[in-house]
Amino acid sequence: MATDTRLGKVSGFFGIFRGFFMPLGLFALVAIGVHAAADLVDDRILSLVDALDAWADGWLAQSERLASWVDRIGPLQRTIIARSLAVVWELAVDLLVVLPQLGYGEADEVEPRFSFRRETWRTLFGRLNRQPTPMRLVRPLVTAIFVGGGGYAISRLVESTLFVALQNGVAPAEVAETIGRIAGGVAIVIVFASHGWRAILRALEHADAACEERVKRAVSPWPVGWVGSVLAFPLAIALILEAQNLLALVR
Amino acid sequence: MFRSNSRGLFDFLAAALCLWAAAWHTPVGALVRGAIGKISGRGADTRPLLAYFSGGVYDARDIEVPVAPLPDLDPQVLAVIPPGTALGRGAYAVLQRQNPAVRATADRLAASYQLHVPDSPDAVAMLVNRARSDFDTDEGAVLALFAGPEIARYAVARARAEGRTATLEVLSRQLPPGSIGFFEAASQALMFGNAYALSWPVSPSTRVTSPFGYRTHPTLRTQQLHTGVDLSVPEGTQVRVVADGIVKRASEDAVNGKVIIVDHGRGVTTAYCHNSRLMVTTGEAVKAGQVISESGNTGRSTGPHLHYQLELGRRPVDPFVFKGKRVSAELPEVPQVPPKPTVPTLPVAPTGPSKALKDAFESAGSAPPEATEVPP
Repeated sequence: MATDTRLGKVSGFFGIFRGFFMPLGLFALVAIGVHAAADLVDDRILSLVDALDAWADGWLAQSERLASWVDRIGPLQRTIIARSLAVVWELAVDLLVVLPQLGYGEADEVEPRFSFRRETWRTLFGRLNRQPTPMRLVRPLVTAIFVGGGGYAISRLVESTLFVALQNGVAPAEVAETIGRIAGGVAIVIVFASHGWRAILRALEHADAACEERVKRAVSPWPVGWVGSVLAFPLAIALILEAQNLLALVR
Repeated sequence: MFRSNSRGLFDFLAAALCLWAAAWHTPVGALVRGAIGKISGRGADTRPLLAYFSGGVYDARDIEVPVAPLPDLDPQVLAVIPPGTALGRGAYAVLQRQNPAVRATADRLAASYQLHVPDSPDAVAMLVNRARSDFDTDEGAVLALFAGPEIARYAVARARAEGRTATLEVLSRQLPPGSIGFFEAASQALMFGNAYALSWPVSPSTRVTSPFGYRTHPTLRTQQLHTGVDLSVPEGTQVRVVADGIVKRASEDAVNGKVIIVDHGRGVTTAYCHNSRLMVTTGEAVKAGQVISESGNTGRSTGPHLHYQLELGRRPVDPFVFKGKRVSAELPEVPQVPPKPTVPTLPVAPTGPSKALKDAFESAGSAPPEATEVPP
């Protein structure tokens, strides 16, 4: 039995704290994906703010009384406004879509604290098929995309951090790059294998629970969670449009 | 790899990776670290939340306009500087402010090409020019100057692997957050390089009626930052764009009149206000020297003139800073803390024209009058 080995004992020790670190890890993974997406859209937001400011200046200029308000918002302020909107957007998605990851829990008839169940997927997909509400459809989908973006960001961070740390004569650049790439690859495998699917299942579980709760109260489950879904969807699309980045994993 | 009951360690490793990355990579991580820092009484060492969206690239937050004496500058104040030479000047101005370790990195890069130590704008220009062939772009070459060839080569290779051009934004995403200092230095060097390469929108001998800096506004009677320079030209004078770019805005409002804003890339934009006629439209690509408008007296203006404005990282900067060594050299002596600073960290020009500015204009043909003489 692995529990008899030293590794098994260490692992068993860490297992005691699963209820603490697993929800936090899942939250962190999806939050990184959300930030990667928000970082992509902030330039678009800035263009919109610029266009809106130009339009507002033109409108204000038509009135003698309002003309003094023209040009009140300078380019630096517009940048701050755009980035603030990006931060607020990101934090709103964190709050509405990512935060439920903290509700992650594990239960299994064999080992209550450990593995997730195949039955859970079947049950949840069965309900999704029977009643495909927007929340049941969108939440797991956007979470899967955020998990992809988050996993890639973590891999890149591990790889580049290791490469930079091995500079200044610690290791030749070629060796440092190879070590970095291997570490980055291992990191993304670990993250996806351990956290990726759990985050998606947790999103489906949360969406299902929210919908079922409405069904029990004889209320339509269709509108539930629409704000979070509407906020998260464009960010997920932005990440998909940047999916070519993932090719770097194999180049 | 692990048996099912050994996954405690495996999952812990994955969670630790996610938490570590989120703590350093996301605003929500910054909020949590800041809160922990405050609770523990150690203070927060996080960047501002908004900084997580810029990567330190072309961000005006830490801009210091070039103030170091540039010994090899062309004495012709309003001369147009070729782009390669201009980039050398920009990189040299930033390199001068770096710590000895970064300067040693630049020396090492020069040594690897068997070039002279980069101790002058021309030597830096030569070094960047040589490095460009190895690092694909100006951005890669300038990054090599500040971060070292290995790190720059790595970032360029990873950008290529993603199928992207090695712009500074793309390169910044390839390196960890701790490398932000390299990117701030590189982006300032590139911004300054673009700024040095700008020409002038009207004849260089044109009289300046109101310089850049804080002044009492002629009509509002309040202390305000004059964000550009007013050039005295008769109505209908042809206005030429100072470098290649894309027109970001071509519109009319009550303050700026008929205004054109052109984006020259690398965080550099120029604005041309109070025109009588616009000859370009928003989104149009323009070439350096192209006539884009005819000057006029539209908007909040009491006489025909062109308000020419230069912005670096979306922050207004005195365009003369990039046009003469005497102006550059004297700026450190004149910064003032204005009563209500719109631009808090930027060294500002004096309320009236400085001696350096007067010298610059004398070189160009005429001296500027007092700042309050002519409205914007």
